[in-house]
Amino acid sequence: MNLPDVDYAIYQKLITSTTITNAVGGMPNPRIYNLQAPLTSALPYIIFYHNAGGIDNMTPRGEYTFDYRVECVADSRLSCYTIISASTTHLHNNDMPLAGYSNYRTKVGQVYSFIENDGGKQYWRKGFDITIQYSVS
Amino acid sequence: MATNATNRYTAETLYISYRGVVVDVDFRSMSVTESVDTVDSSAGISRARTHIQTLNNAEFTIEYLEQLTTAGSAIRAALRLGADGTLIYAPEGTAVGKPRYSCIATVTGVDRSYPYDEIVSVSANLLRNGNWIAHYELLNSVF
Repeated sequence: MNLPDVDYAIYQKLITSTTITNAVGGMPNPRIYNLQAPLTSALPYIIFYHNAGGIDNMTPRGEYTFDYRVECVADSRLSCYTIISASTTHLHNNDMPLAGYSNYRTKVGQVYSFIENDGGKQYWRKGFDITIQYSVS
Repeated sequence: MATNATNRYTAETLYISYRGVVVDVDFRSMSVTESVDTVDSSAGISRARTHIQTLNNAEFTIEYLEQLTTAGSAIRAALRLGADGTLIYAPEGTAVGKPRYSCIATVTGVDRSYPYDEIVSVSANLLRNGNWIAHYELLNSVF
């Protein structure tokens, strides 16, 4: 049983939204990163990472449930909110294509916010948990 | 099928066919309930109840995840309410020598659940019609 490359699917999905890519900037390589942004990355940016979940063992076909976290880091509350709101709209209840798999459920759940202070700067962080479910096509 | 020293097993290799359609691809569980009726034969000076076996019966419940109509029409049609046809199932798969069970069965009930935020599932109840055609314990039936 293969492991779907959900990291790839989320990245490909996020970059199809010009609202998001224009907001994070950095084109032609929008500032959307898996797990961690480069140390030299400017703000704002999005990171996303696998939080929990895996193989469901539900039917012979094979199903997967992945819980991911998508988070925006910005230097202002408004910028952070705008990007994470656009990301929510773009992902919630929308198809997350991945070759070889059928995406039958994509739902945003918990949303969170917090702020960090480092080196005399504020870093706004807003994000959400998203559940992505696939079955083998 | 995973094997182990205690020879326990899961139903990951369960094969189910109904009316010529393989319906196990999205199944979640199958239950088989076999029973036999009895009549009380206690009488006179009996100090303990006795009985005589009469009619035996078998009921089946197949729970599975429903596919969209574009892909799942064959299974929907096969397991529709009132359908009557041959049920074949094989808990250990269909390799040569594995247990085989078969009978004519009628779909006597179909329960569907359409939750807003969960996957759509179906539970189909079937009732054996007539005697077993194949049964590992009763008839030594194998593939």
